[in-house]
Amino acid sequence: MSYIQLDNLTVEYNIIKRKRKNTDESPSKKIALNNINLSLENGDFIAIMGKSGCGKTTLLNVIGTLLKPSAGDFYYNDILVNNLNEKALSDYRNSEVGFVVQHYALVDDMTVYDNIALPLSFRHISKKEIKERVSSLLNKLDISDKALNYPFELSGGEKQRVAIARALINNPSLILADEPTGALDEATGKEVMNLLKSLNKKGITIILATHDSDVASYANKILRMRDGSFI
Amino acid sequence: MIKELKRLLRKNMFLYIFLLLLTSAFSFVFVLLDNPGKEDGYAGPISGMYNTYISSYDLSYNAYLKNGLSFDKYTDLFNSLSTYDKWEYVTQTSFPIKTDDDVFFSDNLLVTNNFFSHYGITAENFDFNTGFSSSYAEKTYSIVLGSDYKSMYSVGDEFTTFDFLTDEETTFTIVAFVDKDCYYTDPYSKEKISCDNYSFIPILGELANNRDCRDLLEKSFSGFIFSEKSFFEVEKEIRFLENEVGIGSLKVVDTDNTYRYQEWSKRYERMSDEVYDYINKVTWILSICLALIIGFLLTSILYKESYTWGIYLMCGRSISDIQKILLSFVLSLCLICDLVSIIVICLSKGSLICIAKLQFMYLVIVAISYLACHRVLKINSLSLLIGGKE
Ligand SMILES: Nc1ncnc2c1ncn2[C@@H]1O[C@H](COP(=O)(O)OP(=O)(O)O)[C@@H](O)[C@H]1O
Ligand SMILES: [Mg+2]
Repeated sequence: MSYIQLDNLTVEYNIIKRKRKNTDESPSKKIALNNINLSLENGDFIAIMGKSGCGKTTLLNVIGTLLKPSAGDFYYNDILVNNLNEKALSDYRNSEVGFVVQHYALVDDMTVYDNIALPLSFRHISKKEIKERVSSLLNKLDISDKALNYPFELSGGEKQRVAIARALINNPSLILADEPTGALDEATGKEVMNLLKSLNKKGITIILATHDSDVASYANKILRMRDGSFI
Repeated sequence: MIKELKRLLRKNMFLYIFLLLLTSAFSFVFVLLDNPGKEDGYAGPISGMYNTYISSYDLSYNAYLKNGLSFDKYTDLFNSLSTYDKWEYVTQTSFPIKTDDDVFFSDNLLVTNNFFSHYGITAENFDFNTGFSSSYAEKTYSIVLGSDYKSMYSVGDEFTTFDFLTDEETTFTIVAFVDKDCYYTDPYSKEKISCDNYSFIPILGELANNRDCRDLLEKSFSGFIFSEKSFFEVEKEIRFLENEVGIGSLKVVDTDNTYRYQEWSKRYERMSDEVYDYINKVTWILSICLALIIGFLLTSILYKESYTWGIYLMCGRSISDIQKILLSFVLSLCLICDLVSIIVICLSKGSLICIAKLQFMYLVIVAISYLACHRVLKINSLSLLIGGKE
C-alpha cells in the first residue's frame, strides 16, 4: 500500500467564456490533468517538471485538497480522499500537509510570529504551546529576530523561510512546494532547496513543482509533465 | 473566528467609520423625507359678518340629553347662547309638518325670536317678542305662516299634526302671517329665500324635563351665530359660556370658511399626494443607492481579502468557516450601522415605519453582500491565488 496514490485522475476546468475577437469558438472545458496515475512512498522527494501551463499546480492542488478532481481517485494512506467531507479535508490540510508556494502566501498585516502560528490558531491549542512551537521553529530556521516584523519588512528568502516554518508548524508528513524558488535569486533559492532537502532527510515527503531542472535536481525522482500527463 | 473578525474590523477601521457616518446621515435624511410636515390648512378670515354654526351633533351631548342628565344646564346654555349680547344666535332647524288636512309644510323652520329681527321679517299687527311662544308643557304651540297660506287659513285657526317631535297629536295655533316679500338668507349658500311659503315655530318656551323637550332642545342647539368677531373668537366665547354652565363641548363649525377650506384642502391633498409620491421615490432611490454603496464597500473589503482567504484555506480552514466569517463580518457591520440609524431616527422622532423600512434595507444589504462574497469565493478559484505562477 502506498502513501499517496492517484488513479486515473482527471481535472477539467470550466472556462468562463470571454468574447474574444480573433479566436474561433474556444472549448468551454480545459483538461488540466489527463488520466494521471501516480504512487508515492512515505519519505519520497519527487519533482514534477514541465513547462508553464502543463498542470503542475493543478496536480499539487488536488493533492492538497484545494481542488476536487473531476474524475479518478486520490488515496492518502489508503483513505479515499474524494469521499471526505469538508471538515476532514480542512483537518487534513491543517495537520498533514504544508504548503510552500512561489509568492510565499503570507498575510501582510500579520507579524511573522502570527503568520507561523496561523495553522495553530485554527485548532484549540494553548497560547503557551503555540509560543513554544513557533519559537523553536523560528530558531531552527534562523529567523527568530524577525518574529515581530511584518512580511513586507523581510527579504524574499526570509519570507520563504517564514512560509516554510508555517508549513512545518503542525509537523506535517507532506510538503507541497509549488515553485518555491520562483521568486528568489539563485543563492537564496539554493538555501531554500537545501532546507527542503534537509526536511526530506528527516522523513517528510516532498512534492516539488518546478520548471527549472537545477531546482528539480534536489529531488530523488523527477517526473516530467506535458499537457496534463506524465511523459 | 472572533480574532479574524477583529482583524477585519481593525483593518478596515476607516471604511467602517465612513459607513457609520454615511448610514447615520442617511437615516437622518430618511426621517426628514418621511415626515413632510403635514400642515393644517386654514384659509384665513374673511371680512364682514361672520357666521358660525354650532350644533349638538356630538355624541356626548346627545347621550347626556337623551338620558335627561344635566337638562337644566343645557337649557341654561341654550338661553345664554340665545341672549348673549355679543352676537345674534339664530336657530333655524327645518323639519316637515304634516297636518290632518294633508297640507304638507315642507319648508318649516324651528326658530328663536332672534331669527325675525335678524332678517327684518315682519308680520302685520304682530310682535314676535310677545306673541311667538309655546308651552311645551301643555303642548300648545304657536305657528307663523308665510303669506302664501293666507288663502287657506286665517289667524286663530288651529290644526293638528302627528309628526312634530313625537307621533302624538300636537296642536298648532296660527298666530300671524309673515308680510309679503320678506326674505331670509341661507347662511351656507348665501341665497335669499322668500318666507312666503315657509312656516315658523318658536323654540323658546317653557320646557319640562321630558323626552320631547330634550329632543327639542337637542334640535334647537343647531343654529347660526352672527357676529362681527372672527370664528376663533366666537368659538372661544362659546367655550367660555359652556365652561360657565359646566358642560361639554358643542360642535362649532366655521361656515364661512368651511366651503373654501374644503376646496382648498382638496387641492392641498392633491398636491401633497404628488409631493408624497415624489418623496417616496426619492427615499427609494436613496435607499437603493445606500444599499448598493454599502453592499459594494463590503464586497470590495471581502474581495480584497480573498488572498487571505486562500491562505486560510491552505492552512486548514474550510470554505464554510470562511463563509461564516464573512457573514458575521457583514452582519456585525450592518447591525452596528443599523443601531446607529435607529438611534438617529429615534432622536429625530422618525416613525416606526421608517425604522421598519430601514431594517428591510439592511436585510437586503446583508443578502447582497453575502451573495456577492459567496460568488467571489467560488469564482476566484482560490487555488489559483496561491498556486505558483512562473
Ligand atoms: N481556475 C482555472 N480555470 C481555468 N483554467 C485553468 C485554471 N487554473 C489553471 N488552468 C489552466 O490549466 C492548465 C494547467 O494550469 P496549471 O496547473 O496552473 O499549470 P502550471 O502550474 O504547470 O503552470 C493551464 O493551461 C491553465 O491555463
Ligand atoms: Mg503553476
